Amino acid sequence: MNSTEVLSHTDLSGPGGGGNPAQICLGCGTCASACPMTGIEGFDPRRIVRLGQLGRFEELGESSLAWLCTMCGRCQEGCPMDVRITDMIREARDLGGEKTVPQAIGKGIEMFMETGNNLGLPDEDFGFIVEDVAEELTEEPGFEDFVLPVDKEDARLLFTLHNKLVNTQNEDLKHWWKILHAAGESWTLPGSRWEGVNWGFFSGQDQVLKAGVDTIVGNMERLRSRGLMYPE
Amino acid sequence: MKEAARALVMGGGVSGLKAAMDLARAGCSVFLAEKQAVPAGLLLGLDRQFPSNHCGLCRVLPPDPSGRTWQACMRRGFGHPGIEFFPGFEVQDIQGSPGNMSATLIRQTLMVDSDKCNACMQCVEVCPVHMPDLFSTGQIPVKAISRAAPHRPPHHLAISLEACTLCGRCRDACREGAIDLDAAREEKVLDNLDFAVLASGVEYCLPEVYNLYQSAAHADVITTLDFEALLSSAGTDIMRPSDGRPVRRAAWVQCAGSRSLKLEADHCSGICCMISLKQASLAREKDIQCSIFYMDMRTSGRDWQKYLDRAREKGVELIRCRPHSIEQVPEEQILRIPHAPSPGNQQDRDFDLVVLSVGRDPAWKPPEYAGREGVFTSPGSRRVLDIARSIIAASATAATALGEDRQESLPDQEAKDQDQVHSRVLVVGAGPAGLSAALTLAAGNIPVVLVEQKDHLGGHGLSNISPEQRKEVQDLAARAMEHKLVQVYPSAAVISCTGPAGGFKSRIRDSSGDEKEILHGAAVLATGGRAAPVARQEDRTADIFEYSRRIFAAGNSGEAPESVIFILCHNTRQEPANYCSRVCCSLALKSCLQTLSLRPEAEVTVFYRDIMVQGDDEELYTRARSEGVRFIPYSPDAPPSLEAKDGKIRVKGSDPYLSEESEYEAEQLVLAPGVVPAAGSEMARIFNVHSSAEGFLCEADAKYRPVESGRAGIFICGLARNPVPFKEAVLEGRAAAMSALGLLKQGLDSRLQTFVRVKPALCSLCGLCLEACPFKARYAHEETGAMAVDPLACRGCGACVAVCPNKASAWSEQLEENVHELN
Repeated sequence: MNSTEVLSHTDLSGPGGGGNPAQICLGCGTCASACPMTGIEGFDPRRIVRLGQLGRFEELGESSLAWLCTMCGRCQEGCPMDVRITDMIREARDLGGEKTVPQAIGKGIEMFMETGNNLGLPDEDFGFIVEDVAEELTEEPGFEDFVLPVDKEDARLLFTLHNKLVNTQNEDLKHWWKILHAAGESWTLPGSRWEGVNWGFFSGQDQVLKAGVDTIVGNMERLRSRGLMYPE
Repeated sequence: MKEAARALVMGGGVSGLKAAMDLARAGCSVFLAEKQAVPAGLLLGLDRQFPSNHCGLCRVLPPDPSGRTWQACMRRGFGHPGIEFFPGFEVQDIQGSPGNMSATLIRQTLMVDSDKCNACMQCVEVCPVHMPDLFSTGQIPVKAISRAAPHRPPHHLAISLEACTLCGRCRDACREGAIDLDAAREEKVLDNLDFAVLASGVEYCLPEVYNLYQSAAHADVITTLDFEALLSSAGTDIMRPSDGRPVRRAAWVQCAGSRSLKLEADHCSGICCMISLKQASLAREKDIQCSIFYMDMRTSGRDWQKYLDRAREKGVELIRCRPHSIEQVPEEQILRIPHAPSPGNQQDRDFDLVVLSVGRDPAWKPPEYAGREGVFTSPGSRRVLDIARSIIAASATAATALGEDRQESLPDQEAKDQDQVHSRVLVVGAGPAGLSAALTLAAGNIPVVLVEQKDHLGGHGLSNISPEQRKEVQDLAARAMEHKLVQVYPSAAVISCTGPAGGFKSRIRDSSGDEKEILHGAAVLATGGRAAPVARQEDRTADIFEYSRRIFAAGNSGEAPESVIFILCHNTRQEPANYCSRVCCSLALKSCLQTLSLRPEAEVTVFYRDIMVQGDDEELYTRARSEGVRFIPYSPDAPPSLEAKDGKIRVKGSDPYLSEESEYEAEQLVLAPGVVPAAGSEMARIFNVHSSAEGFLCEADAKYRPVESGRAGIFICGLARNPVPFKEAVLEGRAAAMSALGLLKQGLDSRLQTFVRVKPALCSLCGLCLEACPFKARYAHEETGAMAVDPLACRGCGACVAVCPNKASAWSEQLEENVHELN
């Protein structure tokens, strides 16, 4: 698998240059009806598409408008004209440059690029946390024989994580592991570069998005896993 | 002369009925196949039609001299002396070539023998097959064997063979032996057909097939066709399908299954906006809160904008937003529609019932034989048309079929005037509509006098931007000039028209002032239209007609401005010109595309109220957007403001999506002021027919007699009647000619067969009958002063019979019997 295959690009050439995918917008309002953010701080997908139609992507990226979107994709799924609205918002965010990226996301990305996870958690600490949770689990009836499969080769599923599961909500890990254990699933947890969250998707930075995907694909190749699981 | 042509008409809806009756009146032997047990097609379920909000299907019927079809409700049945009707049969295949075609008809609906049936309903009782019902949104459980139609007596039962499993239980249960299941496999073959007319319409979109708004999951999400059943006297009251509670709040969602690239449905069905407006207006009368969710309210035509205004006055709410989804709020038993009527403003609205406004099924295709030689397909069997346009299209298709059949088989032969009926027809105006009318009549051996104000024929057709359509008009003009039966009077005008249908006397005056009297049996008025004047005419301003001509003039080597702004509905679709002119939007879109094709970097901006393209012209709109034309909606309360400065045009307008007021500059401004009738109310005065406030000639019945004026023998078509694009003007011309032709043919045969006679010995010459007649069929004889009846104009309503104090106005003897029969 090549991670670049999963990326999609929006052609941003302006009016007259042809191919601006926002131009076909019908102004019908399906997106705005669907969007959970419509009306919040004046947000409306139609505004975004309109700015896109006019080629005003940078203005869009620099404004707070583009950053209100949660990237849920409901607008794009519903659009009768197949305008790739969320893709366009990603592009606009990217064009706005690093300075426009909200601090929390920007910081996480910086950490991820340096350490392989958004928290900047060293592998040692990660190992300590997950083993600790696993040990707690063995104290529960029915899970006495639970063994945490870390870096197990040829397992069916690679189990990546949302960083909050090793930060504030590590109790939640147990629920997942119980299910996997009870189902007799063949699975493994990567011992390093375990981050499943890809903030490059939200920041619009394709190189970060690619790095995130590469991390997962790299683990799958290294451990020869056939499937991927990302609990959220 | 060869024997009467044998014609097959496929489809017994309003189109098929009209085509069949027109062909029968023109002397053909007609076979009419309809897959249902009863005629009327979709109209069986449509009780009330705009603009009158009543049914008027029977008005499509001609006055038939035999007295057998007049004043009959066609939902109850159909009989016509010139038409062999095959209810329950669908055409499966057509073979052979024109003049020697054969058609195979297979049974789709099996009728129970109504002579034997005693309506005990045992058959319905035992039938194990339930099926969806055409008339009641599935609220009334229906079996495969059921009433043929709600309007039929209870002993008229029919079996839908689509649903029936031929299990035989109904036959076994019937004690009268009225059910013959062996006939289910019955086939009919019709041989020696000269031609066939396909008028079976289109299939409508079923929302569950396309998973539109999860309609299958919500019982209270229905279609406009279902809602008709709720409104219909044949259905139930307006109750929610889920729990039978009365509906208090209803929503209509437009464009369900259309105007979507996702569904591969880049088309507009053209009639759904009006249907929703009608349904909401009628629902308002039952005090239901009504909201219509729409994108463009396509009230395109002469009267529909006013109908929309009336709906608004009745309290119908219009919300410009296409909803994404319909949410069920279970604990409250309501349907919630989140929507954003203006940018940044999201609201929820709750409803008891949501009606999806559906049109043509995106996947629908006409049957394979539609394109075969000798099969004439009515435009209503390619796209969805409203009733009037279906009727016009069906008549025009019948005319075309007849014309082509005649050209091959009949010698040109001048018909002679018989008795007091003149077979000649006066056609006024030689544009696309008038020329089409003249040539259709001439093809039917009717001599034509064609009067044209200009010194040449062709009218606006000659400046059409499409080279194919220009050529078509030039050909029509050339054929009219050459045709033996068409006498052309160029540079002339009609100044008066007196007399009854069949015996009109008109005076025409040419440019030198010479006058001439013409005797004619009927007249077709096709005096056309012109661009409405534009008030401001700066250098860089053009109307849409001028601009489109200019930009298309040099083909692909012309020049285009670097920036152009279009303002559509300029001073129109509001009083005093409160109608949509139908031609401007598509002309503007074509001009936008041509501008960009000549100059790809051009900036093209369109200010619009509603884009009014219909049918597959929707593709023009989609293309214009995808090629970079910027569309900005405006409201008539706040139109964009204009000024000319430094050789540029400046337009101030607000872009609702950006909520910002902007100034747009362009080299060229194009305004679309719409069209007005060329002759205005002058034509109406000369011919004593009705006209609208704007001077458009009005028809006898907007739905069912669209090309007949209120005065018998005077037919109206094209732009003189209503704003129409080129192709429709041609169809209207042919349809008007077909009606004139039918009237004259029938008139010639009906000398001995009148509805009403006058007994001179009893008549006191009081003249009450003259006033009472709504059809202007009663007149005083020019020389003797005796009261007379114009048999061509008389429709047998009996008003004169009722009003006569001396019993001098009386039914014809034959009719008297019928009257007793009906009583």
